[in-house]
Amino acid sequence: MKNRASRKSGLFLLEFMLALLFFAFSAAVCVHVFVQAKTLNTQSHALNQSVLLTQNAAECFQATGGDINLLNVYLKGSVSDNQLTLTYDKNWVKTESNNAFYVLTITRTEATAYPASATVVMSEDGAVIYQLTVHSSPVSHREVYP
Amino acid sequence: MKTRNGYSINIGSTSLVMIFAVICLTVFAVMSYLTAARESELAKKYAAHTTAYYAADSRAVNTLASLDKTLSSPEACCGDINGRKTFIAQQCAAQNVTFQEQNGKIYLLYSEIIDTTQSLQVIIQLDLSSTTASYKVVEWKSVYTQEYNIDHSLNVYR
Repeated sequence: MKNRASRKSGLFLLEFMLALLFFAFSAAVCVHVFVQAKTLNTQSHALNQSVLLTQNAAECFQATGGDINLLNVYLKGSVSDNQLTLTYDKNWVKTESNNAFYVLTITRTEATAYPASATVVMSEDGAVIYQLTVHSSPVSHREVYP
Repeated sequence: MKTRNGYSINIGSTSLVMIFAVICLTVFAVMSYLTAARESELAKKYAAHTTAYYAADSRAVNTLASLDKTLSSPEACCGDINGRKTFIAQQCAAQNVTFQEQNGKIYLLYSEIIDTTQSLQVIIQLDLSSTTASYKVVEWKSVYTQEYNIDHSLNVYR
């Protein structure tokens, strides 16, 4: 009787060990898949936010007729040599340049060119996430009635 | 009748619990990955469409700039009205812009392709009553070039 019980518990231990091994292997694979999904989700969120903010900057550039200083009045960044820089933290909230995680730069390609054009770039640690080239409309120069 | 002493060990119950846990884990992992992959695909499509729109917008702005140059030239501003119209129509034809006169108003129409289904349509209204050929943009919008059909079908097993 005692011999039979010890054989049964030995069998249970073997089964338990094998199940644990299989579970550990499966969990490792699944955690890897979860991590990949999380990374992919973060990347697509960053791309979506970049497109939105880049588009916003492009529309403001068009509305101001390509005037970088006037654009700075609306977007409130830092201007230097036909370039406006805006900085965002990890949560896409505007921040100071020393806490910057994402950087949006609006660079007017030629200061005297007509119509004015600019390259709007969103980057993270120097790597470009999204970029647009935009031309400002010349309508404001000749439009006579609203 | 025999009485059982001690506790019995159910062999197989561990395997059953483990199989259930692994199936749950796998299903959730696959579902979250597929959702993330679809979202990523959608984000890329949105980015590509925005890029295509601004490329078309830039081309349309360049066409408008060249029309602006044409309209500010002396031939478009001076002389009799018919001569000015003829000059503007000729210049528009060279730039693939349609010159249209409707109810006494002059319209210049052109479009730029955004993608296979959409294009940016621009309509400009001219005013030649004064000595300057002034204009206003009455339409600057993206329109569907193909019939818009939403796919309502679902591949569900019946």
